[in-house]
Amino acid sequence: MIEINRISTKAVRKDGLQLHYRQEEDIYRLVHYIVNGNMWEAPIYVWGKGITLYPHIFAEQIAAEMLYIQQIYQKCRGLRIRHEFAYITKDEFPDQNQRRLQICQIADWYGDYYFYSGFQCVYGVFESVDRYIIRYAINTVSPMDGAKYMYNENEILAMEQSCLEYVVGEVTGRKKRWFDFRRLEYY
Amino acid sequence: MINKEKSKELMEKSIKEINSRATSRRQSQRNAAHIFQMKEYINRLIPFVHEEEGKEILVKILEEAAKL
Repeated sequence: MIEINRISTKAVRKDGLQLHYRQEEDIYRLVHYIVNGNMWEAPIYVWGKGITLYPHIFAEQIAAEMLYIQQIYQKCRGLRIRHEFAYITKDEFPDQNQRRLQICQIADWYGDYYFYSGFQCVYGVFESVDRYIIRYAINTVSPMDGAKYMYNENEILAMEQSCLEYVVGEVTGRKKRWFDFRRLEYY
Repeated sequence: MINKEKSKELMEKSIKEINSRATSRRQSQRNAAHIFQMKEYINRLIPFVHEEEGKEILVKILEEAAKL
């Protein structure tokens, strides 16, 4: 199963609080979770596109960069960060010795989708019993022209799904679909 | 000699310093797009640089870009 999913409007935490991704603190919390994990789970791989990764990946630095972009374009209202996750079950990988490497390649390659659309993103790969979950935190404001990412459109979700399926097919060797990165705006 | 001096002047004129201090919002918007791409390309370049000096230089550039 290959599936791209999104919870961009709210996330309910265990203590009953809701994160709406509309406050500065929510951005920091989400990025911190993706980079460092929490008490129960930790990412096996973390990377990002269009953000500072050297000398070390700091959640605070990344969140500050995302917020700065929103401030200079004066788009601090509404949804300020999106949380997308890609579920990929382990039976998609024919070679079980290669799958940890391949899931990292998939995460990087699919991260290019957001980079070439003109958006900053951070992502972490989390391992579960029967699947891998790649969590993406995407800044909703584009540094290229200040455009807001459309988040309620089925067309965009379908495009993301086809891109993910293409990337998984290419990396694992089971080719299914074709997706052209040149159709993205800033390729 | 005259030509050399002229060309020097032209070079100095054509190179503009990046103003990293408080600039207008419009200017910082223009910078943002360049910095966004620059960061990504340097991030991609760093793993392929095996000499320490080159790596240090790139990291310095990245740190400067992070301040902007």
